[in-house]
Amino acid sequence: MLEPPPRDEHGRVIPHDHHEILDEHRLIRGISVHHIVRQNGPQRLASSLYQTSTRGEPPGMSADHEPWMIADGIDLSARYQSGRWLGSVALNVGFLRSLGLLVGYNPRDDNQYHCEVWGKITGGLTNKIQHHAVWVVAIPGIALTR
Amino acid sequence: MTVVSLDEARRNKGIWAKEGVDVAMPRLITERGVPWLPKVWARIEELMSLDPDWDGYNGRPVSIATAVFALDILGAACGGDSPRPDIMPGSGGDLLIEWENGPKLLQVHVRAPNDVCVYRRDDASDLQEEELIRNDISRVAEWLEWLVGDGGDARAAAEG
Repeated sequence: MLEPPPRDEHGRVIPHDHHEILDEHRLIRGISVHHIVRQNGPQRLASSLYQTSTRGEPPGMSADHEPWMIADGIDLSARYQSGRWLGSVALNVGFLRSLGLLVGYNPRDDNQYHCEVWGKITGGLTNKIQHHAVWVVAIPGIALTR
Repeated sequence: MTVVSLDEARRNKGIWAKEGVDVAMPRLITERGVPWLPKVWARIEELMSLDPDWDGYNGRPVSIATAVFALDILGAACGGDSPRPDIMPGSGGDLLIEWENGPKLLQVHVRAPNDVCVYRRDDASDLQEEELIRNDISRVAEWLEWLVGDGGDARAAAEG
């Protein structure tokens, strides 16, 4: 279990770099069917998979803490091939931080492993993150990048 | 390719109705004969109909206002021979429009009406540019011309 994140007077998580989320850790991001681009060329993952949400205070990119899930005995293959997800990719925490992004903990009622990546992720960084990501639960026939 | 302002596009636009009522295609766009527009519109409608939490992280469907604004941009920046873009949802009701032509990439991130980030990159050179725009879509049209400038693979997608 990670130490609770810092919160403001309204209870909202303050963007932070969580000291227990180490650079060598990975975050796992689930992939929805709507993240698959099917029109032009081979099917691939959408660039929008690696953007921060336009919602949230402040907005961030959601992902789950891999080491904690493994420690809790979570079957990652089952988790990321059920519900809304068809598969998943992993992002290295140290890599994300090297881009100037914050990687912190933001638990949700339905997902205690939920972390958040905060910072401005626009075109250039989206591309870098997209080419950095690796499969955890691969989706057959779908390329990671163009 | 003739570029018109968003205001002009809106003056000629069909009536936008709330959910449950058919939406008329922007007349200006259909008059231009962009062949892939019906398919792109179908994709945008699909993204407006996404379930709450569609991405497993509290994702929202693309908002109506954002969809209309995106369509305004496409209608004003594209012509009959423009390549068909890929349309992708963001988590917060936003929408990403993307074109690719060999090493060239053009992204139009419609975060909300009048809140757009345009990005282009050429992997064959060091070119990488990003610009925030509100309702002046001339940069989108300009960079779209740049994308297809060499008449490469992007034109193959113009058939829709």
